[in-house]
Amino acid sequence: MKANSAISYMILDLLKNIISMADNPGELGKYITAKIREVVVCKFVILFFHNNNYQEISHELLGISPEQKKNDINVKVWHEIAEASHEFHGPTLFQHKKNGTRIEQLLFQLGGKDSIIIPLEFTNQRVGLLAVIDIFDTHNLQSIIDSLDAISGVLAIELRNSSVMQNLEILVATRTKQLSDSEKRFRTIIEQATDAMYLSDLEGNIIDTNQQACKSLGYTREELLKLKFTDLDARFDSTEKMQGLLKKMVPNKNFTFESVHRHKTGNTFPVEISMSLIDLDGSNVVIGFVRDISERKESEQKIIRMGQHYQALIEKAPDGIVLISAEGSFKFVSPAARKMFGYTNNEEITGNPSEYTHPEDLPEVLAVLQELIHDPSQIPTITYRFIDRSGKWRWIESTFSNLLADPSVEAIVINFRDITDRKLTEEEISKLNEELEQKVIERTNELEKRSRELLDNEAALLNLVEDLNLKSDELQRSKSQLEIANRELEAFSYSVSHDLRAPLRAISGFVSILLEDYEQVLDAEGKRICNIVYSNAIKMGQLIDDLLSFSRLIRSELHHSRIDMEGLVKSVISDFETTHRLTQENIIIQKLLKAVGDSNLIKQVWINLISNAIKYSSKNENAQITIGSYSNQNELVYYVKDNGVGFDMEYVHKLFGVFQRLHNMNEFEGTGVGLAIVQRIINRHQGRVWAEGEVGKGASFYFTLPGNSH
Amino acid sequence: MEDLNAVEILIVEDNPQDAELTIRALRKHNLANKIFIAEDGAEALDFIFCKGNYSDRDFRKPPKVVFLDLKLPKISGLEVLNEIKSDPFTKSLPVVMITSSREDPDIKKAYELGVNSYVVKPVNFDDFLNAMSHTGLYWLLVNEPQKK
Repeated sequence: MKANSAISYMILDLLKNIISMADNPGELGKYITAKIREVVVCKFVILFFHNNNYQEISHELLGISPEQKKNDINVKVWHEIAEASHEFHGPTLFQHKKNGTRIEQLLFQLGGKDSIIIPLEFTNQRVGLLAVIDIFDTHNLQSIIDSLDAISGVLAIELRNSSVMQNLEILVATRTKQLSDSEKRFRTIIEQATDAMYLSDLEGNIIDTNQQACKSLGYTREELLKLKFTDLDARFDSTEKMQGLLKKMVPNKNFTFESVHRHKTGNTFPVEISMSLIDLDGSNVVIGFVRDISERKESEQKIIRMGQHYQALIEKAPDGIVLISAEGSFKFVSPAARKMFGYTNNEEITGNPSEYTHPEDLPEVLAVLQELIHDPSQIPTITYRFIDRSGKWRWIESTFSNLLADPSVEAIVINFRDITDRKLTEEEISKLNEELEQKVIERTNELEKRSRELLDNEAALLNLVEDLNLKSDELQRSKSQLEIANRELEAFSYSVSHDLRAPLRAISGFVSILLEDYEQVLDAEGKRICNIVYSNAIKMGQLIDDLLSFSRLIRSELHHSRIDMEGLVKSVISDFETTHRLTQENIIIQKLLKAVGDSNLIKQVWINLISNAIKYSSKNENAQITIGSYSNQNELVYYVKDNGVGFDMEYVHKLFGVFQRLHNMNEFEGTGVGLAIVQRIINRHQGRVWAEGEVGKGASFYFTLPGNSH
Repeated sequence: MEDLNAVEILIVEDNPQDAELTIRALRKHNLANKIFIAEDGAEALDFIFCKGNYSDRDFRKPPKVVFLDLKLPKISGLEVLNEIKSDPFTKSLPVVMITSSREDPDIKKAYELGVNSYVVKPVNFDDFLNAMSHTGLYWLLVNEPQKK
């Protein structure tokens, strides 16, 4: 091992590369740890960055090699190691110890046997930690320590630089954010202001303005910044007038006055201006807050006009208005009120209002009035009867206000309308309502009865649904049991093929070795016995394979397509021609109908049937095999006939069973799975299989496929 | 096998009889003196990563090929494969998976983990001899190892 030269080379390489990575500590950590692990050869290399900004010490993982292990490491353990490393300086070797110091225990937990911890220091200040865990090459530990010590200085400087850079960047970013935040805050306040704001120089040139100014004058901000203050103000529309205004002002003191501003369209509107002279970056500027006071002016005008309207309103109002004096006599009766009670405009209404009130209603009215005098903030509304000029009782709805304290009124104001017609209607409605309620009660009883009947039915229905759910659960259970069974079957076949084949391999292998290595010792009988053992092992292997392919058939999915039977059968036969001596006279292919099915599986059916026919007719010198098909009702029937040894119809039911054979091994070879596979495949295609035969004359095998392909 | 650093074929096989048959197959091609047998996954990992009983082995001298049986006690073949293929040092070490059955559902997983090839152990001894010796010859003599 040439550790020294390899590590010297690494130092050169590192120096070359890491300086360019100072501003990317992540990349630096990744590079260094991978590089060190490549040269030192160990389980892990880890680099920590020791961060002590803002009096808070933390360890940041900069790199780990191999990187795939990043998620395996327990962060807490690493940080504890980093903490514990403060107790020593310089590269320190730790060796396999279960009951050593805390740090030795931690390293042992990580599976480290020989590990080196190198604290990285810059001018006596800790900047990081390099850990090389579980070094494989234990013969060169001292030279590894020396070499790592040599690079630790450079590494410390790089980490220090990157830490200083990082801190500076954070500081700059924080300050920049503070400044921009404060500017944003100021701008937001100005923009949100409901007053228009203007900043202009002493000549009246507008320097800055806000959104509200644009809105109230109809200009864009860009347009406003090209204008002078004198262009906007109708009163101070010349530089001289503005200079006169500025002379009156004292720096930093508000000066408020009313003026008139001009909209872009030329329309003028009244404004209140609050103006100050301020010092902005060393030069005097004028700041003005301008408030549109059109609405305020208009309100003032309205109040004046209101008094004139007031009289007209009362005179024209459709509701009656009556004023009652503090003494309880009529003070004013409006024209509408007179009309309601059948009096002319000039007729005097004498006496006290209580004389006109229905005696039954009077106590309520008086009580309301009493309370109103006591508490003038109330505005009660009551209905009662009042007599008209002809002596008829009219129902009225009156709203009372106590304005006795108002010097311009000094009265109880009664505002009322005639509701006699409405009252009559209400009475009628209430009578109808009573009838309706009676009907509703009757109908409700009827409905309740019906609902009870329905509930009974529903309960019966619910029982049915519950039964169905139970059945469905049962089905679900059966289904999952089936799935479990299928999975078990799969596991079973896997284990059969694995575990049964291993001993067979041993039997065939060791018998072969016996035959090879002890050829001289074994006599002819011994060799014969060995060969029997060998061939039986091979046959058992074949049986296992056949059984597995049979169980695969049960599980695999069918892939249906249209099958060209003639093409399929010809390809099967041409495969046999290479292994068996066949001639065209031996095999006759008649017309074969096209069908739909899984072509791979149907091909397997033909292979098994034709190979059987060839096998069992091989002892006949004039062997002949006929393959054909015909259509029968909804089925397509296919057959393979031979003139071979045939079979006894007495055993026909055993033909299609697994491992069932009608001939012994000496006559014809086979495992007895072929016809079982044929039956399985055809059954899965919703078809049937059957056979006919006679000993010494031959056998015919038939299978059907659904005939919906025409 | 005295010099562990000269091992060319590491066979990971828990069945000693299969191991013996494999060695016999390789011996016919004079490959048998550079074989080492690990009896389970843990031992295989110790051997490859120079740990435990094998800490004196040189990590820089890995075997040329690993024959790995998937059905192993303790640490499974797939776990051994995963350890080998996820470490940059051992990633390029060729691993041939040896299995008893082509029905094995682990074949797919092994390819996902980056196995280099797989061989089914035949029952027929002649076929077994051929399969093992061809595989050994291919990885030792024909295959060009990746240059580091």
